[in-house]
Amino acid sequence: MTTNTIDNQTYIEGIKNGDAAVIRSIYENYHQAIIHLVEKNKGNSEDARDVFQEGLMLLFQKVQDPKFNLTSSFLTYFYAVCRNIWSNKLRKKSKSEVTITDQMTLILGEEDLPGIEQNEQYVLYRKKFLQLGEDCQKVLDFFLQKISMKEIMEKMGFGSIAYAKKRKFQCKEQLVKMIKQDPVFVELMY
Amino acid sequence: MTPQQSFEKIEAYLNGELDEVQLKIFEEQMKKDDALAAQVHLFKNMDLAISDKSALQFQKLVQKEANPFFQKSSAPEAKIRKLSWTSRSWTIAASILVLIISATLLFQKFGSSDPVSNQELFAQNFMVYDLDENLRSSAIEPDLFQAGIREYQKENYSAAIDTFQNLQKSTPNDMVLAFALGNTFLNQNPSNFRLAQAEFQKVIEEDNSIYVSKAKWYLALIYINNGRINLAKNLLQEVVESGDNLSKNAEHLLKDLQ
Repeated sequence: MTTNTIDNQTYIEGIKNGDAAVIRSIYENYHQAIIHLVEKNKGNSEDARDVFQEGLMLLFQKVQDPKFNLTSSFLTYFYAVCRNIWSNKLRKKSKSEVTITDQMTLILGEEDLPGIEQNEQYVLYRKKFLQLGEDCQKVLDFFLQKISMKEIMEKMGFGSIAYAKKRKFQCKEQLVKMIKQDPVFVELMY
Repeated sequence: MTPQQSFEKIEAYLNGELDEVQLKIFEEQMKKDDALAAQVHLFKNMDLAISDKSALQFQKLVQKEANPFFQKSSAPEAKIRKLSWTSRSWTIAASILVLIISATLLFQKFGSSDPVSNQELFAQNFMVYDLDENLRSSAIEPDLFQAGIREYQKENYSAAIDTFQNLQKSTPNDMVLAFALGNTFLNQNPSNFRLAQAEFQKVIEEDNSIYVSKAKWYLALIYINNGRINLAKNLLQEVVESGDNLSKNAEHLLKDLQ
């Protein structure tokens, strides 16, 4: 196996298994490239961070497919993913076609990456969910697992089913509000 | 329909819990109401995103690991790099001084409690009290009182306050009214904690209505929001001992405050 293949395999397995050391290594090795890509094309460091994270989340979904096979270097592929993500964001901001300025040879067209929009949405929803208080996360998680309100009441130590329902509503209302207040959400509506 | 009922209707739709007739009505409503359709779309996708546990855990990791590598903006950093050592050291010293002064002011204002977590604790435990049209008091003019309650249910809190305050001019010592008014002040955006506190204190001091324990609960939450934790704890203990249906909530909250 070539060094390139070993590195690719390590990255892919690390993403699949949520290996913190591998994720850190990806950040270490590639964050400058993505910051450069974004800042040279009308973005800033915060945008670069969002693009990097969405890129990793999109890759996370892709590597779950047993048929996924990385034929280029990890950097080339990951860069292409991030490039498409940023291009999509810029297009939505300007509401017209954009041209990214960079030195990389494109290996992926947008048709190779369906799900960029959905990924952007889902990353936003999860980001806001993780910002909720611990109790709210628990209540909403129990509800999504279709646990009965009576059991939620007991697990959370609430006084009544009505209160459990109220807390669930309040937590969800707070989550929805946080999502809708995010500039990314406004963009998604167009 | 209250916001909670609206949310629950959407959830019932998404969970396939509506019967044939309800489903048809709801789908017709969605066709006519873009905002409702958008909300349904949002709820559906939110649920899908959050219920994917492995993706959620991975995202948590990705967010955490980003911190050392991405700063707020590169432009200000470049300016700082160009400062001389002396200027930079003064800038750093001034920043530290500002932080110390801010921390001291916050500590003095809020005691040993973290003001952010007090407000979060309030938000986590606060629930909108369901004033309903069965609420009655023999002393209050019923039609006007019901009108105020309807305004409250529609979240027209300013209108509800006008109505309740008008009624209070003729019945200043009615505790059902005081309790309703306290809740209305609390639900305003932003909450009027001072006026809400006054109404709940009235109810508690009169001690002759069925709303005393509930008033103690809400007053305790106001105290928590304002960082007056010991006062809150005393009230919560009383709610626990009262056996009111809020006593479990009070017990739970007291544990959080320990």
